Amino acid sequence: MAAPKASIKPQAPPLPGVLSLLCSACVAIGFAGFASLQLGHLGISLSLVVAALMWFSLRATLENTQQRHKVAETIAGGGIVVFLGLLLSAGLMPSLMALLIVAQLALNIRADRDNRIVSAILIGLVCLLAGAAEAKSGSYLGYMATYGLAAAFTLKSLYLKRLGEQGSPAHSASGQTAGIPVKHNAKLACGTLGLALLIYLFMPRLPAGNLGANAGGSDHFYENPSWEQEADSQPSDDTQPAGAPNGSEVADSTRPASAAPNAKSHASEDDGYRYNGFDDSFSIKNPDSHASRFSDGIVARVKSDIPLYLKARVFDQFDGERWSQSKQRLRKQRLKRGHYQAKISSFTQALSAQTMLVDYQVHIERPMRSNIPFAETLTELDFPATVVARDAFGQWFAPGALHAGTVYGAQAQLAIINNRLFSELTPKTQGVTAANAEAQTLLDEAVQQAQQQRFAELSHYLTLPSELDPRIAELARDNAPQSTTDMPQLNQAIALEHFLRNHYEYDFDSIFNSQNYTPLASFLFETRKGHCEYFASALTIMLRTLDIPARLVTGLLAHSQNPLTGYFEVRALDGHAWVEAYVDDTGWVLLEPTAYYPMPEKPVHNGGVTAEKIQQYIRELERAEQETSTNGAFSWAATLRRAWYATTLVVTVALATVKWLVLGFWWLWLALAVLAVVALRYWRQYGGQLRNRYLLYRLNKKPDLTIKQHLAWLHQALQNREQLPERGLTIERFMALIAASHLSSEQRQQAAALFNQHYYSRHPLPNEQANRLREILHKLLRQTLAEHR
Amino acid sequence: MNNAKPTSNLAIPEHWQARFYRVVQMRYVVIFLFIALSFIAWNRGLALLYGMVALLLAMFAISVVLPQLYLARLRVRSLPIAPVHAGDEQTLSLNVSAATPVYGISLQLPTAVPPQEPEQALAALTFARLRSHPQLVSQTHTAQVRSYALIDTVEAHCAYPFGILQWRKTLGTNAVSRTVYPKLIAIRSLPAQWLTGASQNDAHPQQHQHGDDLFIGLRDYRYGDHYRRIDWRASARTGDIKVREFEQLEQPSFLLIINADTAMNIGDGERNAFEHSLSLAASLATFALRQGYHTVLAGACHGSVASSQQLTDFYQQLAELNPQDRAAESNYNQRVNDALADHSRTSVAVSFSLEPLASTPSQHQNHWQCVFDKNSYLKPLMRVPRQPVTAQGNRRIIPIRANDNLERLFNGSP
Repeated sequence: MAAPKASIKPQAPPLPGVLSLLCSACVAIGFAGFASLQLGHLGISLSLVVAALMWFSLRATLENTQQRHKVAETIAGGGIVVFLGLLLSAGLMPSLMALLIVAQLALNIRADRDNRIVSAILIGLVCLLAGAAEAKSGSYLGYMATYGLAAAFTLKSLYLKRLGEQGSPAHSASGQTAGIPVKHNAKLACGTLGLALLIYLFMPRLPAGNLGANAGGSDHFYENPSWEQEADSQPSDDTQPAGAPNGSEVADSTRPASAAPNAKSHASEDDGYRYNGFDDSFSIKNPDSHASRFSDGIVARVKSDIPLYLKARVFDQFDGERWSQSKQRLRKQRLKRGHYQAKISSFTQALSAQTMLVDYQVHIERPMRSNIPFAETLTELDFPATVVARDAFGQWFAPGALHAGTVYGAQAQLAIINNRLFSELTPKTQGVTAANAEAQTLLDEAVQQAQQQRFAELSHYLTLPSELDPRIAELARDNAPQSTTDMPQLNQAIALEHFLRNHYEYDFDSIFNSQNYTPLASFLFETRKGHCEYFASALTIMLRTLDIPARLVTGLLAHSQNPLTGYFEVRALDGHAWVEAYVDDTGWVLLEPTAYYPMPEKPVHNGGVTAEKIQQYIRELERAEQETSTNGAFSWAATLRRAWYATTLVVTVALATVKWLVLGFWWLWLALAVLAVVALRYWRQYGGQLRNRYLLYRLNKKPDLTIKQHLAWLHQALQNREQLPERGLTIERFMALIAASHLSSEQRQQAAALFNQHYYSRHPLPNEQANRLREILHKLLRQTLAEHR
Repeated sequence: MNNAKPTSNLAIPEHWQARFYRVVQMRYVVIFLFIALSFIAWNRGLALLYGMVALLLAMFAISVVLPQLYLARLRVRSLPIAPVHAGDEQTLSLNVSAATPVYGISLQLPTAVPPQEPEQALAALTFARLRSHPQLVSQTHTAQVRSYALIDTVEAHCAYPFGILQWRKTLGTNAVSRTVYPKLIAIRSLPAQWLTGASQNDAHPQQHQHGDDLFIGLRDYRYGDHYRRIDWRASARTGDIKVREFEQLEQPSFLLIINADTAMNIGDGERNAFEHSLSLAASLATFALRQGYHTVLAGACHGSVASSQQLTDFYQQLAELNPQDRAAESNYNQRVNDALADHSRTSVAVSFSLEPLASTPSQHQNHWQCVFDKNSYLKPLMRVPRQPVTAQGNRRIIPIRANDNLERLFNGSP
């Protein structure tokens, strides 16, 4: 039986070649962005295959609807199989992307209307966005720019196609069917990208909302059955606030502080209570010694709104050369679906501290030890593990060494007092008044007792090495005078911090020579330069000589934000040591004695426009490069930097000049504007007359014009008189002109006849007649020019 | 055996599709994308997405600036539009120029210009390099209904380059009139029975022998002259086509009493009683002129038709005619009687009404009353029985339904 008539409707004509190409490019570029992150070069090759498939499916011509539907259904069925296969082998996102692309291929065959073009643009965008969520490199902007151009030009072609369909096929305009010139397309592309770049550079960056945000996408999951067993058998210590100083610490007598300082322990063993310096991931020694002495690779990326100090280890004992921990204990903590929530003490709120909640994500890029770097005070942790552990100093550990690709999220409540960042605050009873004098006495005693207990527990943060150079205590006293302010100890600590930042130099060489070995006296009184460990050790010991409990902290400093990706990049140089001091019975204040690193003041969102952030980022990179690279060596980064500086210099100078001109001579501009408005008005009224006067002046200067020139000038004169809006002096117009002129009737007749002959005769006018016509035209032109409106 | 179902079953209903495409327009999609991307970029701190947001903003900015620049550069001048009868093709032409090249412009008549057809796009300029000389843009389309409009503006639309935001500008042009005359019905010979009782029985050109007429001379051929009047001998002698002119002693003549009352304006589009009456009037006048009859106009029109120029003037009057708000049909009845009295020497008077009129034609007059069936115009789906042409003395009632083939009705087979 014959197929129903409705099913043999012919397919709409295939898309124009350019539109098919652009459409294919949209999907392929979007897919390339996503796939290159997952598969690298293979992803690029796959995207080329996708482009080819898109092209062929858009150009396919199938005779009838039924056939088209069958092919489309077959492709869609294949897409389901591919989706299921990828879902089981590669994960959800790649399988979804593949499904979308196959659906687009089926749509290309099935659909007749332009909606397949729009869907291709959207599917390309979805692929690109899926990649953007994972991308951590600024080069991804290249994919975005290319995709944006392809999508923009697809929309343009679609618009022109629709316009062509809308217009009547019978219109006779010459050149309408011609394509848009390449030069115009190039200008449009450059204009779009240039404007996008300008907007991007001046686009303000707002702090992230983090609504419904959670850490996900970690490549690794950590398990440790023995830890889990331990965690299940021991009581939970959630009731103990994280900031309580040593409340649950147990002194470890089995491990002497001086044991095996340089022994590199395996990360998963987690028995490295001795400071062994930074782990291998923070090694800044470049294995390729020819290029540069240092390698400043990225070890982790942190997605946050503000710069963060991520604590990894705390050390309390110093034997004169090396740091160690006096206590050890790992309390295992079960995580419910990888989530831990700390109970924040309500006492914190009673203190006059400003608090700030920060959500951040850490992406580990190089293998690290099992320490989980986090910002104080930790309120929430989303870590891809079943169990984690916490040491006596409140630091967190994963069940195994952190692998590259591990992603975890956390939330910190930052506390700020006197514009300084405090890592922990001491909960105290404040502002409570007893009912009578006796009760008040008891209350005061209780408070005093609690304070004494706190100080007793902090005693090991005051321990000094047995053979300490007496000059150190003297130096501390000299540079940290007693003050009578509300927080004298805080002021002393800040004074010492300033002293070290201002009087000592940062130097990388000491990292190679003496990592995990701090010749304190030599640093303070002889060399006066060193790396962060020297500065941190010196400040800690100097504070202790002033009876201020202090400790050395190591971890990561996330302070250099890549404005293109938004991630703070933690490089090898950002493996850092700093100091925490317990001041004025308030809490642990964070101190940064190393001048190379920025001051840990009240964290503010790294706002401003993108250009500013790029400037900051480039400066950070340059500073790091100056420290690590060999002088005089060529590098692309330095070249690009110089180009950036040159551009910003030009722009800055231009803006400054404009500002000076505008603000300094505003009266002149105002006067000129008024003058311009008046002049424009008069020009509109008398402009034609003036132009005609100028023509008359030129005519007087050069009276021997040809007939053609006469006619052109006559035309110009009429246009200036607004009597001839359109181009071309027609015979009718000419007749009307001579009819209205002051020529004699004989001249008029002659002019009409000669003009006709000149215009319509194949043979040129004889000289005599030509001269006569020229004469008449000259007269006519002079009359026209001399006439006022 | 073929069990395949028609594919139309699978299709989404058209009203759903229309609703979908009304909401999912390009500009809304792009604005939604912009908002969504901005939100994601802000919420998740995805700095890379700011690049995409910047690109979208740039596209918006270009979509705002470029079309406005192009529209500001555009100059349009209308060329005269030749009038046509409804149903014929009419060509609209514009001279378009711009100081620098402009792209992606479509020109449209303003929506207020009648007839308000759904698609009035004049032309689409996908590429125009207009620096050196004006460019002619023209479009030929079939004029559907009688109309008259003065065009002194043209609407230019531009959504170049991305088709996201459409900008519109009304451009002033020199005023030209766009005239569509009523549709002509080809009347070759009137039904002989209708002419019974009229003083002129020789309404058929074939039978017209000029036997009783007085030859008064030769004149040049004019459009509308019947070929039988051509004096071939004189034409061969002079080289120009010459026509014999007679003074008709018993001049056959038509009296067309045009009814422009609002009441006549019933029905939609072309199926409109008023339009049908004007078509009939125009066709009868054309027929009469070809036969050499004199036609007198009365009612809403005035004058007479004795030459092709006067016929054109009559067409123009009809094209410009709008239904006038006159309360009662009786007014028309009165006007018909007045006209019959004023032009009592005309042999055939034709009136157009919705009801039979109580007319008093003179003894030598034949009054044809074209009575349009109200129900058939108001209710197009209603089956209205066909009524025969009836004669009451020298009055003839010619009932006309909306779906009647007027050409057949007025061509000898009533």
